[in-house]
Amino acid sequence: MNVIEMIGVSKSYGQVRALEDMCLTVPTGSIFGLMGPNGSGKTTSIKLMLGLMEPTAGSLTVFGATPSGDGMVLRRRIGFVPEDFSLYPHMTGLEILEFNARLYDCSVQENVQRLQTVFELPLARKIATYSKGMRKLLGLYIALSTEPELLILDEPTDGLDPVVRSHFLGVLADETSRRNLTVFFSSHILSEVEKICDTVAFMRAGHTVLQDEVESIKAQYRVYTVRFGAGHSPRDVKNITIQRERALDQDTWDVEMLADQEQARTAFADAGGTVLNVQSLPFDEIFMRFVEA
Amino acid sequence: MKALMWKELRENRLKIIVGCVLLSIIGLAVSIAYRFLEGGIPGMAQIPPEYADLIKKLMPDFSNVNAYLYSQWFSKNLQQVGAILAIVLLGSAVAGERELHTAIFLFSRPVSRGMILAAKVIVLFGGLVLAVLVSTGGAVLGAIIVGKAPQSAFVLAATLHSVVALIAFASLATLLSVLVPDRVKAMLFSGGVIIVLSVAGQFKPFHWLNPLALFGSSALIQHPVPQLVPVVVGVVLSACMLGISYYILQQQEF
Repeated sequence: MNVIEMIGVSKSYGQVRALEDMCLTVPTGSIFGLMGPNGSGKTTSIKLMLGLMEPTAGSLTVFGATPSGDGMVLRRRIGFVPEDFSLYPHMTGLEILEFNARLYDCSVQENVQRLQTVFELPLARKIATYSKGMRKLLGLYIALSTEPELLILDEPTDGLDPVVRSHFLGVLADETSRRNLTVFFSSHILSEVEKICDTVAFMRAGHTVLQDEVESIKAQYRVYTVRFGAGHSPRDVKNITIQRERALDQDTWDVEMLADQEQARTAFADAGGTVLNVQSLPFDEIFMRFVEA
Repeated sequence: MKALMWKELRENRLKIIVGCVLLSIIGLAVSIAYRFLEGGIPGMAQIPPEYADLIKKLMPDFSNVNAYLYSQWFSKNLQQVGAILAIVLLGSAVAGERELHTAIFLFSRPVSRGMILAAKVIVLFGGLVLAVLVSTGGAVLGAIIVGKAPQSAFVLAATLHSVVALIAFASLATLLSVLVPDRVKAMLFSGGVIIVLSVAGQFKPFHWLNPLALFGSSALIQHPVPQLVPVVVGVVLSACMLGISYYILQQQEF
């Protein structure tokens, strides 16, 4: 079952189209990474999921319900850490946790204690005295303290030092394995997405250009060096989308595609080509190929 | 709802306390000053008779403590400082959340926007009413200290009119706070609207625009009974502005 389903969702701000025909499915229990360059529509997608905005077109459901209509009920099941995480500076860390817990009708004790064993955040201090990284961590405390079924994190590790970032990702992994938590994670830090996510979607200019499992993408995206016979070229390859092609000489090409290797070899053979070499690419290179295309 | 109200109180308690203290000091001082003004302006004897007559005509009637409190407290100091307090409290209510980027946090919690607005309105309007009651108490205390206790029916009626008028100002500030995502601009616009209406109300064809009318007329001094029309107009205006605020907030995207 899918926790989040977006089908053909568009969102415009006046003349500006932030999302255009966006499709996305987030399976239950997964750690899902939404990746894309700045301005590609990641934060807009998240705001739509929380009912903070309404889509201009398309269908969006979270736990099978519409966020704009059933927002209050849905948000009780969701923990959310915004990208630009501002909190009430006059409150202490503990006060904001208790305030949040009262809004969710729950107690914070147990979950906060578990997180405190890892991060030791000074909860008695006013938020005004917190660093950016400490505020991000407090955001994680707030989001996890209410035992959500879905955790939505918008650029959560931005501003964290490498050690805390590693602990942060560790806590996410632990929480996912401890209970049936689904994590929706937006980031442009490729290494952490590769490390923690099982499924990813790449976004470019307001829509998803790829959604698949991380391991599947890494296993299937290849650069094929192909020699084509006279009168043939990569344009003759059928049924497989070529991501990038580059002529090395008159009849030899580097062709990049996301496909099963056997299928790719067959497609090249059908197009009059012979595969000379096959190379894999690092995950960040694959991401660049999709978002720059 | 209780948690939201606690948050509003926690956030605005200093403003409410300062408002109460400041207004109370002014109320007390205005009443105590009556002791010196009751017999006319000191030094009037030295003013040439033709000017003294003119000044007497222009001056409010200070021979009656009710008239003095009406002209100097209810329709002047309380109105002006109370309006500023109403604008400061409510002008930042929603605009402050947007400006300080806490709106995303607050509106992504499992509470309705109506509840968030209601908590703000209940606490901040409550703080405003408290400031009016405490400071009017101060004004009455000052009058008692100088041995000129005002008529209680007059104080009650004038306080009711003041509360209605200040709530109307606060409702206007709430509406602008929802419309304008900047605290200072929301406050300036609210103040600007009240000033423009006050100035326009000075001209006879537009007298009905004058927000002073919401405080009731000077007839309260002679007949200390709440005047139905200003009270109903104030309540209806406030309800309309709060209703529009709620509707706009529901439509807004964060």
